[in-house]
Amino acid sequence: MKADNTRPTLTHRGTFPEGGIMKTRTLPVLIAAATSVAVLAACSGGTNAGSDSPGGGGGGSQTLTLASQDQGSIEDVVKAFEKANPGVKVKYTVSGADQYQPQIRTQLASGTAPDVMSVWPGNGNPAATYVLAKPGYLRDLSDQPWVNKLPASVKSLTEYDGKSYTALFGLNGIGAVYNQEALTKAGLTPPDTWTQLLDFCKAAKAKGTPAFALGNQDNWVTQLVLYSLVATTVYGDDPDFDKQMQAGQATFAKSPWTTALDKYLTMEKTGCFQKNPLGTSYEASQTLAATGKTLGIVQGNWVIALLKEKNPKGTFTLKALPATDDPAKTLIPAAAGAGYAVNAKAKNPELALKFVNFVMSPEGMNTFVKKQGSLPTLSDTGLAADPSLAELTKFIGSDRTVPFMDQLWPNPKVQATMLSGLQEIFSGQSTPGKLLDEMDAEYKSGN
Amino acid sequence: MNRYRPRTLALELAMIAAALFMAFPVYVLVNLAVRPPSDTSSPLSPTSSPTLDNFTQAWQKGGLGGALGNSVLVTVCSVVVVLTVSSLAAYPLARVATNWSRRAYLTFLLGLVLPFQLASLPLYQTLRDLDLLGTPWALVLFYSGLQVPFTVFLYVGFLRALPRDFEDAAMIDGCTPLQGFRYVVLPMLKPVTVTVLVLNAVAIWNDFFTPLLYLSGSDRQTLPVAISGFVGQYVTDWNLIFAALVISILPVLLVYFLLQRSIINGFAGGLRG
Amino acid sequence: MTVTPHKQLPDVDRPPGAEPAPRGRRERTTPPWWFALPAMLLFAFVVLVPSVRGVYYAFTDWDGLSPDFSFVGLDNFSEMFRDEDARQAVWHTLLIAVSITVVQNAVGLLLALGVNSAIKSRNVLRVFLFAPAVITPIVTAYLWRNLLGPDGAVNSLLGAVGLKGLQQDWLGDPDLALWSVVGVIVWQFAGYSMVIFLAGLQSVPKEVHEAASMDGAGPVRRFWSVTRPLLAPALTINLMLSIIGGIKLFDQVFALTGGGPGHATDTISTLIYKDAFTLGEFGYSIALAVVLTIIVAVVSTGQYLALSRNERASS
Repeated sequence: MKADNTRPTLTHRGTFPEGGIMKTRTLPVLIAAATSVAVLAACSGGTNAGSDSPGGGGGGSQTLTLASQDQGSIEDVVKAFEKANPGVKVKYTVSGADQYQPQIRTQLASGTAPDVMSVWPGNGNPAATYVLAKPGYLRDLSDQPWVNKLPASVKSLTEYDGKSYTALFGLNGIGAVYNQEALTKAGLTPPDTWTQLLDFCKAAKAKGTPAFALGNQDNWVTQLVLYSLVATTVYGDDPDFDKQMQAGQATFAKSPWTTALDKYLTMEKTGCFQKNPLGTSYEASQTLAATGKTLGIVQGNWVIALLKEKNPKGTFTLKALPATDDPAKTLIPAAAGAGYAVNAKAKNPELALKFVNFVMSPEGMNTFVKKQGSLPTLSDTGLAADPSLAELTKFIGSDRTVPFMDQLWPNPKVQATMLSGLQEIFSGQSTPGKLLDEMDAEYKSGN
Repeated sequence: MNRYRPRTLALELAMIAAALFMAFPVYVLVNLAVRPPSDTSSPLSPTSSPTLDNFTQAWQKGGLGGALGNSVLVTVCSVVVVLTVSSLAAYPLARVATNWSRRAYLTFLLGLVLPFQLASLPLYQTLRDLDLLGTPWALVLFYSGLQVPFTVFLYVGFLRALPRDFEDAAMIDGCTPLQGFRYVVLPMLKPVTVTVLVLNAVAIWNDFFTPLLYLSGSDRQTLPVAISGFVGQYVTDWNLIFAALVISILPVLLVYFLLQRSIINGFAGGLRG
Repeated sequence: MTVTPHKQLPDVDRPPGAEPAPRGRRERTTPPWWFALPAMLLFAFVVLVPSVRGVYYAFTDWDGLSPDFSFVGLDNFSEMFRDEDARQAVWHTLLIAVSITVVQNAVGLLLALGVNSAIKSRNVLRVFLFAPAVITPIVTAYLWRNLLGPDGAVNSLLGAVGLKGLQQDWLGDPDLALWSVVGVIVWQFAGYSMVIFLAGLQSVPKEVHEAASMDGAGPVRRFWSVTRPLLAPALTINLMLSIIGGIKLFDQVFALTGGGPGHATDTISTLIYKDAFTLGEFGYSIALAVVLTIIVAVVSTGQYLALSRNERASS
């Protein structure tokens, strides 16, 4: 081994001009070749993009632009819509909520938003109805036929300043989703009261399969158990809690929110959850519940479809999570999921309205809710209720539900504070008292 | 140093161990990508029933073909523009010792420091006004400007270490400055050009947040964006996701393997001048 | 063959064109200034002008959405001093940048020395060790997020080799999450540093080593007195790249932890993103970006000056 053969050979600057030009001819040739290929490819692509771009205006273009965050279900709805309206082409993009929200805000602020877009109900989220309607970006939909058929609790979430803006098609609830096989194997039954719940957790833990999977690494998951407990402890005795908050007569820190937070931590201490919830992602928590490594998971009903994907043979049912010893008082957090709104400056407003009305038609709504595993917001769609959601249907029917708490908060900061604060409590960096004080401060900072 | 002694053997083994350690994540990646979803054994144990299903599914469901094309287009065009304008700019910046040259060079260096967040929204609005949003040209324009400072930085450094005798000779022989650049300077820049080409290509190919914003609302995505959307959508199915990840890595690794010798030599040459 | 070991680094403080020393009395030719024009125009159009326009928002209360907003002077900057999250983020950013710079370059240097030796597998290893550097950062982040889970491959591996006691909640433990992020970055970019060091090592002429060897100098001594000074330019480039990259780091943190748990891994960049897009405080987020610019500028200039002094001293 003498000469290191990987030593670069290009150090002979002194040998120019004999070798220099000859040697380096290949590079420009390569570049030229690459460029021409690229330009060829680009030109074909370029024309493509040009003809697709809307804004021709003339001749009643039959193209609708749409931005959606309903991954996995919007595809079918678009197909059905195009089928029902021959000659119409929907140009749509789908992305996850955390990518979707920055995107739609930038587009609205820059005037590049599509005709129809996903919008969340109520307030408290960067792309919520209230947030986007206030600066005038959304078209008033109050005159559409479905608005007055919506249940009052849902209708209020479509509104800003007394007008409706958002077509909300699906209802979701949060509760304990149980893996039936795992329950049977452990010989346990779902608890109806708080005391039973703690006993259930202890028994489950003793059997080596903790009661619930908790994927707190994804910070939005941290709120679900808390919301379930808050529904009963806060709103059970005081249905008007939000009105008092808005009037400045109540605070988080001096309300039963402290009780709920306390119970959340009691559940953690009792061993209701698997080890290391903060290192467990949403996805990993699903695997635990689907494969029976935990008996269930506290989640929204949307998780059922995902669990079935992981374990097609499994049976999963959603039950309310008890928070007191009086089962009759238990409430479920349930609210509309994201719906669709029309851009106030839509290039094709008629087609946009047509699409939104299609979403609210029995066909559109059923396509969505079946795919998403949610319940329809309108009662007359003729959809047979999913047996795993029987309890949720019953609670909604008897008006024993509370909207998701953040949907009535004045700004997104309250929720952001809560989510990272809950992670901090779980890692011992913060305390319940500190968190609720911070949430109060953000609540009061308005919007 | 050049003889193979027992100590060299020990070093060899230690280095191989280090490489295996580095390769461990890639092993898990591939192992999970080739197993069916039903195989839930430890990610460490090689699967008993390898399959390529995940790849075909990921390719179709993720629309990765189109994204791959867009990524290639954007990367190739941007790199060509960046290398052309930067090498040209580096020539006077390295050779002229006047105030304007010094100031211009410092201005370029400022570009290394500015975070992309500052320019992001105003540039978005400019591209909107030019009607380029949603097209790959928005990205080509963006990277062509964005990568200029870094590229000029490396070219100027390299050029300053080169003697200018040949250029001078060429000028005396009657070359125009452009000819001098084309036939004398450019060939001498070849080693650093390989380095700069690779670094730029990797940076552009891998960028995520700019294409996310500038191509949003269009169906023309680049590979990292397509992958990220895919991860969001199939969050339950890691086998599928890992197959998609393997697909996204493959072209870059392939190019790297093919070019690795000139890349590493290019680095060496680029550093040495 | 003449050896020009270093001095090819751009020297801001050296008048350009002062080197190489003029040989003979040939006529000096100067390339025309307009050669720099295309690059300057592109750079100004894409980076300079939009950045200056962007800075304006730092003095407004714009939420990133509404058509109207007002000028608030320096309010956003004074707000930063009261914002505990921002102070934490600055601390995390510096911590991450410094640890990455130190560890990545130490590992990179060791690897470079290893593959620059007589070992047989050196060519293969050069490829393998550099490979992680070309993988899309967002992809490596997804991969590691899975590997570092409580039941992920890293813990399984530790269990399999009998080190159960070392199993950790890598990304869930706030005391550990930041270091896990650093670990992932080092894994990805150690090979990058290695290649640059390798280039520097190969510029050390073999004859010098052999001469030192004959004089009876051991490997450590040879490294210290022969190799080390000649590595100075490679070290400068490596340190500059890793410190700037470390301070601006965004993609990997965002995809690995999203800044969590809590705010345990929030950096200035992740905070800018959250403030701009999820909290509707665009003006404030741009003020943070301005601060980020200042930090990068100060740190990199300081480092650069120190290194070039050192480089001159050691040559």
